[in-house]
Amino acid sequence: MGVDIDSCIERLYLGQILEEREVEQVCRALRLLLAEEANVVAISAPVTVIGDVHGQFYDLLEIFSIGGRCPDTNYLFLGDYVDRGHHSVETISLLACLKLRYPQRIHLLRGNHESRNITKTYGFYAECIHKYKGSAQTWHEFTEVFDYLALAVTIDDSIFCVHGGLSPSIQHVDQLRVVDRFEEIPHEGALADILWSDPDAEIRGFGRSQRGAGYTFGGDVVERFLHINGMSHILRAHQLCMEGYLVQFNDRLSTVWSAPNYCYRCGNVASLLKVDPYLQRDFITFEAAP
Amino acid sequence: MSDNSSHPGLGATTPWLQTQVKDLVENQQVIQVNSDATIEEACETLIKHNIQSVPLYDAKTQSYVGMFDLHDLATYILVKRSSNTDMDEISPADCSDLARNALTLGKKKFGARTTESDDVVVSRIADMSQINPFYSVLPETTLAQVVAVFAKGTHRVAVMDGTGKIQGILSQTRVIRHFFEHGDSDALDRPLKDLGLVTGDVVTVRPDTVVMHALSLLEHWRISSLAIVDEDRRIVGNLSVADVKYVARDRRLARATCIELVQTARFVQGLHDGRDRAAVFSVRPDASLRYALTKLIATGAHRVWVTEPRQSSTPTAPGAPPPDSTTGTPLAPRMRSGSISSASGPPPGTSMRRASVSSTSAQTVPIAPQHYGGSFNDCVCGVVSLTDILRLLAESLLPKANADPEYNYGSMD
Repeated sequence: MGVDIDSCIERLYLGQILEEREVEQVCRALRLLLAEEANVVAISAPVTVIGDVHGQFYDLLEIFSIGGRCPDTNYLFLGDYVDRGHHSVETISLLACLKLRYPQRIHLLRGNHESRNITKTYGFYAECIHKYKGSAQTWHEFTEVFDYLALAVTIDDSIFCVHGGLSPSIQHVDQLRVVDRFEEIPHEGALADILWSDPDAEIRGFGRSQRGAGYTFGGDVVERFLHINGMSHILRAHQLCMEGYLVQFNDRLSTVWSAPNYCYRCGNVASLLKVDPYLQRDFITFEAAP
Repeated sequence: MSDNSSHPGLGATTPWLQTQVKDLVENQQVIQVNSDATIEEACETLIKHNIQSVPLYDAKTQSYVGMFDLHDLATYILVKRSSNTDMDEISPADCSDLARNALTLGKKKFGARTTESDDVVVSRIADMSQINPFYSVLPETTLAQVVAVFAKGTHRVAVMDGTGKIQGILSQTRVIRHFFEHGDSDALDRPLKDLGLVTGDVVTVRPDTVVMHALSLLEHWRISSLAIVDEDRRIVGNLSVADVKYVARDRRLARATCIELVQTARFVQGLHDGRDRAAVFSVRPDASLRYALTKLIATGAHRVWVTEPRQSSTPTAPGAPPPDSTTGTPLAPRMRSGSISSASGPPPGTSMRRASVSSTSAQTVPIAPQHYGGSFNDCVCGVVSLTDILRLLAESLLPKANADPEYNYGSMD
């Protein structure tokens, strides 16, 4: 690989963005690496799970200072690295380099914002153009990488982790394994659902989502999914939680949210979730970095 | 406003239409604005409550003097721009007859005189666009009459009792939801295109079209929404008249591009409830009416775009230079590993779509086959709005040609 990855990481920790040429090389190498990953990656605890970050780079550094740096700590990120915050470029660049450098120590799932359509509207495209002097090349590179990100992770075959939620098309995890994920997130279908759906304590079964993509799903759907797949818990992100996290359905599903003071105005706290080797879950909350 | 349940033909087959409007607006918290509020104050109310229009109340006369909605604001902005700017500054591509027509309309009502200051009271521009005038109905009015009004394009009516007090605002969305929950129609399972619901004329703009030009299109064509498309007619976003309220907050947005206005609107909307929304709501022409309705009702949108797959696909040659930066088409053929992640199982979409969903709950939805929703690669070919659907319902209400000649259709108004 022609790029000095350690130098990239060092500069990124200081908040310096990479050169366009370096982004190209990192992304190209990362695509090769991710192409080897399955749609559903199996990992083991202990691992620290992180929810939406949304370009809040200084809060990402806060996460590393609370949770420990990678590779000292194993990390699982549930998606939504870009858009809305002002430092999406730094955020995704750092995470991409860390994945390249320590592929077994950090896992990155795809979120609904890891999409060409969404990033054109919610800020990442504009930020790339701005930070790279009118060139959209880095946006092209990163959005290509997004098509390769894994869809879900299982922790010790017991905890199912995904960005959004469940799909009426997927009862068994094996069905997710055979989806062709290497494309832009479609408007409909299993791939869209996994990244867009939300739990809803007030319904049973699946309902149409207000978001215009994915579904809402009730506690009965969660129970059935866990039962069929022999698992104990679902971890997901995708929805703002004022307290940083939310546990629902009799402790069968948790939402982790890791962007404090979302968009610099919501005033929420954020959390990171430590899963220990015995699969005990422990939420640590934190506020926005000064 | 006569109750037409006395007409046996209609009442017997369509009970949902006999619902009185007061039942649909029960317990509604009515938002209103004083008629002497400024335009900015009125827009802040719209943003805060996430609504598209608001009745204006005059405390002095203790009566309602009009409805302020975003079409009025759009017209006002066009008028103001024309009197503050030399018309030559606006390029022909920007403005032309369309904007001039809108301006003429606005100037008739508002007058050519405008002030630099933005302290214009909202009552002066209420109903300026004449698109959604203040329309009131009595609480006992049935849906049958309201559907006819909605079919003509009015988006909402005020339910007012005899004392002049507003009990609630009844919108097209609310009526459609009532129909979906209580009505019955063979039409529900038929494809949109067979029902004649897919209107081919879609007014589109490009992402870099200036907002002013988009506003003039909205007012000229008397529509509420534009599709933002790239040069291949793929929809990249949706500019609605609802997005105009953000222009009141930040006047510079009037000179921004459409995509910038949409970005601002989505940014603020997602903060509302912490849930971001899909960029585009679309369906294929062969989607059923039921499918389109569930999408409309769940999202609260006033229309869905109809898209179809592109006729010919032009694959990008390997090693070709990156395409134009605004299209976002893939750069190079996919690199894949030989075994794991490629589709070594059954092709996507066969076994999955037959998977069953719990049938015990009324909330479950049939799995939509993948082709019902539009794909991001589709071209826009039409639009289905609430008005179109209500027009269909209104037409199906009308008795057949050999109906009772003594029935007075005028009372439908």
